[in-house]
Amino acid sequence: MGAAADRSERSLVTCDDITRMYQQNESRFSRGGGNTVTAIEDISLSIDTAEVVGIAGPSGSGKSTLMHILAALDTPTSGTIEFGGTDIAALSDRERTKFRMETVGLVFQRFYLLQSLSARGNVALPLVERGVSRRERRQRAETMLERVGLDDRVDHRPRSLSGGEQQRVAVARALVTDPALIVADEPTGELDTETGKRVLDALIETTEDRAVVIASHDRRALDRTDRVIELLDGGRRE
Amino acid sequence: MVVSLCGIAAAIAVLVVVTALALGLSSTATVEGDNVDYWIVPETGDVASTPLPSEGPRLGSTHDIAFELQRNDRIAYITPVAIEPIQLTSATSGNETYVLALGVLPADQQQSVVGADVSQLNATYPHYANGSYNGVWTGELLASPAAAAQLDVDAGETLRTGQANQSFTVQDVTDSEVTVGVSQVPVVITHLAELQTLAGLADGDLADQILVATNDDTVRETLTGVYPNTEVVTRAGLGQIDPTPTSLPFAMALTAGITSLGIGALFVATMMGLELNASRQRLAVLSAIGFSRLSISLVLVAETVTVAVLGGVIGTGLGLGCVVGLNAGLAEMIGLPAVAVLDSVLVVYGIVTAAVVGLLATGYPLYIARRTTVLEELTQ
Repeated sequence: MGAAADRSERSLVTCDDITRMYQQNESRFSRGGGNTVTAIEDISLSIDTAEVVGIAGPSGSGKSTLMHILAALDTPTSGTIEFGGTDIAALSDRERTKFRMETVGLVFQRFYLLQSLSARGNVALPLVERGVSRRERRQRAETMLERVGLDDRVDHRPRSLSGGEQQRVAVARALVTDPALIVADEPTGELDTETGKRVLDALIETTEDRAVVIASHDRRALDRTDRVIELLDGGRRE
Repeated sequence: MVVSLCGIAAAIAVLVVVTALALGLSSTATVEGDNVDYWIVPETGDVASTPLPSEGPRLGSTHDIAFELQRNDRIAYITPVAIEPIQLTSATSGNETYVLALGVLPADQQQSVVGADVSQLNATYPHYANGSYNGVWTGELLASPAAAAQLDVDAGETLRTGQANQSFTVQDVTDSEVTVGVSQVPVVITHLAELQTLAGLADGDLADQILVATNDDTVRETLTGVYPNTEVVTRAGLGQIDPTPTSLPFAMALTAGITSLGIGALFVATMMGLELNASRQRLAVLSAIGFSRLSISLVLVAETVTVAVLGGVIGTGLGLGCVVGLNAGLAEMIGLPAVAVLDSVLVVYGIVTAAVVGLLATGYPLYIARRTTVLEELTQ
């Protein structure tokens, strides 16, 4: 307990013995009833600011579950996950949504850009909920797109962008709110090597004042991280 | 989105057309005078009944009743009004047309009936001749602008009827029109007795209603019971009674409104719901990047209402176009005057209805949004 407290003081994110179980034969994410499946079990870890952490492991090892918990999209069945002294697991849905808005930037394997919006519109989207003025949203979105090398694509819709360009728009969207934590789940999973490298560059270049967690099967992506946490069958590989 | 737009546009277009028709049907002209305060009408009709004579009951012995009531000091002017379509031919131009003839008693002083000063008619009223209807035929006639235009006549010119010794002379062309909906009705005003003779109403001294001008509201009691099975209607009461003999236009408008609201709301809700169902990921992404449930709901409401209002604008335009086409088509094919009314209020009505449809339709998209689970959508 003392070690955990000490870790918490130094770290941006601290997970202590988090376990996530799902009920089978019902909705995967509903709780109660059916057979219980343990996705991750008793995982403890800490992530510091300015650190790039890789999460590795085969399919079904619990990478995505851990990423969802780190991103406050899901909560552990047991254990605590502290972020700046706040136990995210204890927050209500509404509070976790607010937490995500203020603290977390998300990058998904499949980009998840809104097709009806331009690259600029997609990047500016998180700022809408923050109440940022239209002019500032536009300015910040364009700056961020320039930073990821897409200043000539600001008005393009996702459909007219390549996969790598779409992922860089997603990275810009994750960075535009200047979050303390970036959670990227297989960010290079659908990209070729060169494009994947450019996306990682865009992600990793921004870690001076934030932490980046990257879950990936891609060894070249994991090689770019400061350290790698290996998962196997829902637990940390020793 | 396009399907939703088309659906709401179609519903609003139908609403606009049916409401315009209902307005047209309800906008029938009334036979009234500026100073007329009471109307005695058969119970089956009212003062706003169609200007074309109905086959309903008429009032009898109208001269006797009118002369009797005229002795009452509280009554400034009283006249039975017979309403009959007659065919007139201009002796000058040869133009021939049917006009709506109103037979009234002349007034001693200026008195307006459907915009015509009936004091211009010979006050001696000779043709009646104490009920014998064989006095001098004056042939005096006041023509509305529409009647004068269709017959191509002016004051002093002669109009022939089917009877050789019963022609008319235009005394004056009035300034005001009688309109039904947006079309002007050709109306002429003449001596009651002469119209009765011409139209075969002299036997029984028939007329359709009696107009009474007075400044004394106690007159109503006197008028009530003058005829059995009649009612006395006041000007003040006009606003409170149905403006038409039947409730058909109101029923049409009401049905169109309810149908548009119901079908429009169900259609938009279903289509928006289906579209949303197919793009739940969008909701999940919004939630994942920090949009609150309230913000997402507001986005959905704004989206649904915007689609509905846009559809409403398109539908209103379509509907107004259909109304113009309908009126033009009917005029071209069967010579019917405008049956549907074009009114700016229809624009407001169409768009407001569409906005209400949008608001009513938000329930289903909001339900879908509420049931959307972020992780389920983003991990598929």
